[in-house]
Amino acid sequence: MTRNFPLGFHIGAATVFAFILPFVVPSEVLATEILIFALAAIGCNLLLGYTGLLSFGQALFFGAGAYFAGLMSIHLPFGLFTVLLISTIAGAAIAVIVGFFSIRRAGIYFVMLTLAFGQLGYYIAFLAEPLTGGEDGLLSVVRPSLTIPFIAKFDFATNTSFYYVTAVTFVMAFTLLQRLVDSPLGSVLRAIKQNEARAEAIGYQVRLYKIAVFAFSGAVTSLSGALYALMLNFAPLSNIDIETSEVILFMCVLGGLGSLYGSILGAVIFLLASDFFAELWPRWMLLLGLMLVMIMLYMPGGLWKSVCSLFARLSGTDDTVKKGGANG
Amino acid sequence: MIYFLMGVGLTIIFGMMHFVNFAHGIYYAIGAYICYQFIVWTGSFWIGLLLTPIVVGLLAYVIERVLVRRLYKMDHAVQILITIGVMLIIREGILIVWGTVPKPVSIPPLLSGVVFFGEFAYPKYRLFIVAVAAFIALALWYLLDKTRFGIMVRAGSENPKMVSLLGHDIDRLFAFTFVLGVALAGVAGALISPIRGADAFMGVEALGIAFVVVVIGGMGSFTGALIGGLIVGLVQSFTSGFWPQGTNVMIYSVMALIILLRPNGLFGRA
Amino acid sequence: MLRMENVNALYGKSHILFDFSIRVDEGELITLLGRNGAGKSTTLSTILGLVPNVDGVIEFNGASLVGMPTHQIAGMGICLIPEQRDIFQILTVEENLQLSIKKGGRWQMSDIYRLFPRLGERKKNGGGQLSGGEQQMLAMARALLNDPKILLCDEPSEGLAPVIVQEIVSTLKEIKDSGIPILLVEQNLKVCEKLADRHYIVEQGKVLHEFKSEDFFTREAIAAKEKYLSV
Ligand SMILES: Nc1ncnc2c1ncn2[C@@H]1O[C@H](COP(=O)(O)OP(=O)(O)O)[C@@H](O)[C@H]1O
Ligand SMILES: [Mg+2]
Repeated sequence: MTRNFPLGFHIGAATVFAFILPFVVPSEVLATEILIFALAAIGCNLLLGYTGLLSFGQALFFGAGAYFAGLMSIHLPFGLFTVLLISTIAGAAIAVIVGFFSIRRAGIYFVMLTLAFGQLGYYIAFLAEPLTGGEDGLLSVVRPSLTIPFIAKFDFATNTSFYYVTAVTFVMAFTLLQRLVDSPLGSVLRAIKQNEARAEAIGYQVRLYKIAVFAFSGAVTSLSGALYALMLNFAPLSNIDIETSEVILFMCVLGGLGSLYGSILGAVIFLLASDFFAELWPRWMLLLGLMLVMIMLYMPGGLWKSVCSLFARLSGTDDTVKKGGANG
Repeated sequence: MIYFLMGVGLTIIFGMMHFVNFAHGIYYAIGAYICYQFIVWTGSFWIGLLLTPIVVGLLAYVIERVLVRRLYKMDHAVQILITIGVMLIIREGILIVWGTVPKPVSIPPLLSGVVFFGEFAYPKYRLFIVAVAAFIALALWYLLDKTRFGIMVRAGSENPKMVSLLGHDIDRLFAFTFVLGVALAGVAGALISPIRGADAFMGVEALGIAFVVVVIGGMGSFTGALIGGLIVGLVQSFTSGFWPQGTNVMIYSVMALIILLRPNGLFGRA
Repeated sequence: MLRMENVNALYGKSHILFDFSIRVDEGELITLLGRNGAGKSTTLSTILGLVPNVDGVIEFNGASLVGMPTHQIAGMGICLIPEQRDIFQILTVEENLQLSIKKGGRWQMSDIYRLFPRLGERKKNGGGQLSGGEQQMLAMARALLNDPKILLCDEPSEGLAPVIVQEIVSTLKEIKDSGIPILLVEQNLKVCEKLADRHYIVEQGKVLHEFKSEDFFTREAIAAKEKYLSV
């Protein structure tokens, strides 16, 4: 179980990953994008993989983060750190509201509520043209700079420098959330996923935990949206549409539910594949659909789990089996 | 009324098999394309309208046999994700077959033009849609409420095991219900094609609204789908009077409100 | 007529029936007796093809039932009245009955309303509005309309008042007298003693004893009843 690994291991793993990534993928922009969507997929995984809540509103948090960051960078003199922090907090706040209402219903009605909130967000962004640019998106977003008083001032105009901003943010967020799912709170979430009634009976305030997990999910998803807007220098309306929710969901499922590493893998594979196929065969989404069906039917643990068990079989050690087992 | 047709298909399938079909919108799109194709081949919209549900129904039958029947017992989340996969496959299939440019469909000459009600001009074709949808609603009501088949469908939605203990083939009943629901989406697509053409992405919005219709009415309730369709229609025409861009905001707000106030929709069972 | 031989039945991994053998001959009324959880209901479900994992021999008039889908088994005239009665709550009484009518069956609607006048009075009521006794009547009426060649009846008297149990017993007797064999699961020994030709005593998924009704009060039978039926 990854739960048995010390925090240092996760920090190390994430750092190594973020350090190597730009050298193995075709471009730094793609590497940045991978880290950003890995965070978004992690946000989705917290809800679906750990707590069993299927949310169709992830794009709302993602898009909101993008708009917040974009607007602050255009209209307010905030530094990078402040912009990201406020976007994160705002995302958490929105998620708490969505969560508060959505979790009053279970099953399909829950999904529908998250979908309704997502669509509301979309149409509001669409209509609030003076603020969000409506259909054209929010243009000329600038990357704020980072000032360390009396010492230095960094701006992040180049793709390389912005990659490292993203990488540092990624490592921090990832470690924090890994810590979260390894904590007692994480076990409660898993208990809720397995059997909500029993978790309730044991005495957990299931509703509070669900709202909390929404808050974390909204926070990290919004953070990733903010980074995305800064990366593109642009916050398109499509950030907040249902297709974005589906893409995030897909990365999450592809990589594997119930493991943050799986979400990273999901983002890597998805974005590499779309980068690869985009020019080769524009209808590659057909494969995507096929893959989604196959994974759900035959590999409910996602790719990560398969990779783990393959690895375990090759090396013959028990260690990785356990690691994979935590993801099931 | 198009929303009713979409919604009722969705709700019949959910009510009977507890199956959440996120691919429902794509059957609507493919209905429009197939109607278009028949018009290209035969030159007649009427042939298209008549044959589309049959072709879409056949497609649904194959999909039910190969895939969907394995999903009835699974979790709703799994059903949703898999049917999104199906949606992607069919959508990309449409784009491969018919290309990325949407196909225009013209209104049959018999129904072009407007009728006047006193001062008001109303397009003939839209009246035709309302009439067809009303006819289908009536036929469905008769089928579900008055025939032995309808009794079987309702019984199956409550307790499929007992239906098979009485000697009825529940698998076949499920397959038929799925085909019926999907064929209704196909008809809806064919009907709408002269208004908005055939477009691979037309299903997304339609699916969203169909879900609103069904959720408002209560998942699985036939009356609910009818009333839900009416409510959505009313909210739309009401809002478009003073805030035309805001109709979708209103529709989704109404849905969220109704779910929160009446957990199972207006006519849903627990 | 109906024969199970060395049947093993499993729900998933849990093994419920072990080398289970019983038979029901023409015109007989047979009871399955045993504690809660002994596997009586599972036996009936197994016959109807509702248990996923079964091996052994199950035959009806020489035709093997193993692996046959439930609706076909039911179509052969093997009619189960489940323990929960499984009345369709959202259908009216009349619709519940209509669903099971078979053309050319021995009982038709008019016979049913004569046999169960109470159901005639309530035919427009929803299945969910019936009392326990009425539900049991409806379940039996539904079974008769289905033109059974053999009736499997799971604890018909469970949870019902003595007067109603009387009624049920006399209905069962009538059905038996009309020549239809019955396999009856029952906890109420009095009911069994009155009706049955033979008894099987079942414990932990195994058939432990078989008694003819005339042997049901021998010392051995009494001992078995005391041991396995907690009387
Ligand atoms: N659907 C099922 N899945 C798994 N186990 C079951 C199922 N139904 C019954 N059992 C088990 O099978 C055993 C026999 O149950 P049952 O046949 O209902 O007993 P009886 O009818 O004699 O009271 C019990 O231990 C019960 O827990
Ligand atoms: Mg029992």
